[in-house]
Amino acid sequence: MALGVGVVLAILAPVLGRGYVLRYDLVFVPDPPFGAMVWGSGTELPRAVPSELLAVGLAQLLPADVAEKVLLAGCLALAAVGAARLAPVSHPVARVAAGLAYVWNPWVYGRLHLGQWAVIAGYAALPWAYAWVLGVLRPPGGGIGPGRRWSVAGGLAVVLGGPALVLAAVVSCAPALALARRWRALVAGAATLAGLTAPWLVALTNRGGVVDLDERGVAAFAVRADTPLGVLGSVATLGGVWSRHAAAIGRERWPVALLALVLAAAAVWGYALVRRRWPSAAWWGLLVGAAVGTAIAVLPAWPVSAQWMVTLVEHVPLAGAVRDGARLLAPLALVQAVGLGMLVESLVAAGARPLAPLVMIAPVALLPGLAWGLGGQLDTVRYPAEWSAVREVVNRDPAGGSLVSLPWASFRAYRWAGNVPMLDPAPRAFRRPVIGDQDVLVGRDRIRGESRDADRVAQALAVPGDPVPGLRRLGVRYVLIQTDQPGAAEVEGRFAGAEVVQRDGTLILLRLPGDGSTGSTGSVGIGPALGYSILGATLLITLSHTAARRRRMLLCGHLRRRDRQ
Amino acid sequence: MKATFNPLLIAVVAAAVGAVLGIAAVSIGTSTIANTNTKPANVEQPIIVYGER
Repeated sequence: MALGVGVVLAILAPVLGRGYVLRYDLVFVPDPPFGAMVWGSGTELPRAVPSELLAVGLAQLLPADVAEKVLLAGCLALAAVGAARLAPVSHPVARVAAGLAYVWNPWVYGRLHLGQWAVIAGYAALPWAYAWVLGVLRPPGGGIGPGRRWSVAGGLAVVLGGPALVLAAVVSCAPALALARRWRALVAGAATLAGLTAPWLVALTNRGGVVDLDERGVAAFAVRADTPLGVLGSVATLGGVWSRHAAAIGRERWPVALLALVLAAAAVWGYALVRRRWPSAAWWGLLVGAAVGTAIAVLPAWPVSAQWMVTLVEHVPLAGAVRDGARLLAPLALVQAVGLGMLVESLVAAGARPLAPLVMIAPVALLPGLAWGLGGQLDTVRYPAEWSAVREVVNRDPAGGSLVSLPWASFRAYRWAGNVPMLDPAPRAFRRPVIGDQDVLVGRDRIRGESRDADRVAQALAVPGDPVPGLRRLGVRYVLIQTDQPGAAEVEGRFAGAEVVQRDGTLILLRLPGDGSTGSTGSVGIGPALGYSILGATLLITLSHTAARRRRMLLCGHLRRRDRQ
Repeated sequence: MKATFNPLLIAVVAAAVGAVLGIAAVSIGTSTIANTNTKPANVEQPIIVYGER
């Protein structure tokens, strides 16, 4: 617990006050509604499902900015505590070393930089999921590690991380269960994951099993060398994130990179020592998982294997999970964390006590940029008042129809938010479906989005002249123009036939003529409702089954003790 | 405690150490990258990018 608090304070201290942390994929809005994005009812891939439901649900209980910080802190603490409890060590310094190594690394730095809190949540769940595997492989009460109930509860959070982290959990857990021939547990785990991922599977079915992912994304989001050690060296030290801006500061220097490689090698050595304390299948299973995850991560880095990945993404639904492959390094991070904990324990046992704290603190020393809100990069801001005014007008309107957010770009950079790129907050701010650009720019490459609605709106906007008739035909009721964004001036003059509902600060809200009887109202469709129902049922069954099993075990233990008396 | 010789463990550790040394050797020999750009994205440009490789 102290480790979790310490890690949270060390990383998030500057942003624990009131206000929103807004950057890249990390977008929270005040009083978020249960809109189309939460349910994944739009035509884009349900990327924010089910993490957005948790975020919006928590924001009903707490102010949204507080909910954001609770989630961020919870993810980091869950990761640290999970790894510390998974490591088969007893010395407190060794436990801290394992927990710290799992959180304090370039992988977490990169995801935090990109604001991918949900991916970190899935990462945090991985040690808990593996603790469940360990619980299956060894007799009750055997060895060190979290209880099965906690393991299951923590491990279920892996679904928050999206398909990539679910895949990471599968490659981590499945080999161990298969090696131990625990087929029932394997089937139970697979069924649980299938239930948890039901919202995606249903969305996929709704699209006819076709996900039209842009194959250029494979190269754009492939791992890259963020150290002088090349791609393999960068990946071995848990770096390699696709964006150069998300690479941890200092890793480009030779001494830091070499020391990070030495630390990674030492952690792998430590993992070899774990073999004495874990069942053989568990030890080999996690190692195989780390190897498979790393292989998937590095394949797109080279032209020939990248072509295999392109073929996979083109033909296999949900294979896009491997597009930002560095996320699949999570099992390797777990191997290294457990290994470092074991190494510290061995140093203590061998009488080299002074070395133990040094090894424990080494991840922090090699990556000081993670401390204090990524070295001061994280900051809290508040939305200008005009956002509340516009939200109130749009969300109060009972008429159907979507909202188009302009200028046509997926990312925004607000002066009031430090000009840091961030996803357009409009889709999270309104109850009705918000249609905006889904393409993302990686350098000069435009990676096409998957939303059919967005494609149709883009075509209507591309037609010269007044786009209002074309947008009305597509069921659009409102147009929101953010005047402080690049390209806004050209957009403003084009909507001659629209009513200006609000012009306030940097926002212009236009209502298109018509009674609004056509178009979506943002209600939950049958598909998302079905998906979430299956997800909810899976959660209930899994948790209640675990509780029932625990009760049975306690009862059996009680009876056995009574028999002996 | 009597020391035991476990060929499997020795092989795994040797492979891991060999892999690390191999990575270091190949990387040092071939790496030409000079990733010194750690500044935030230049968002004053007309197009806002998600990131740059």
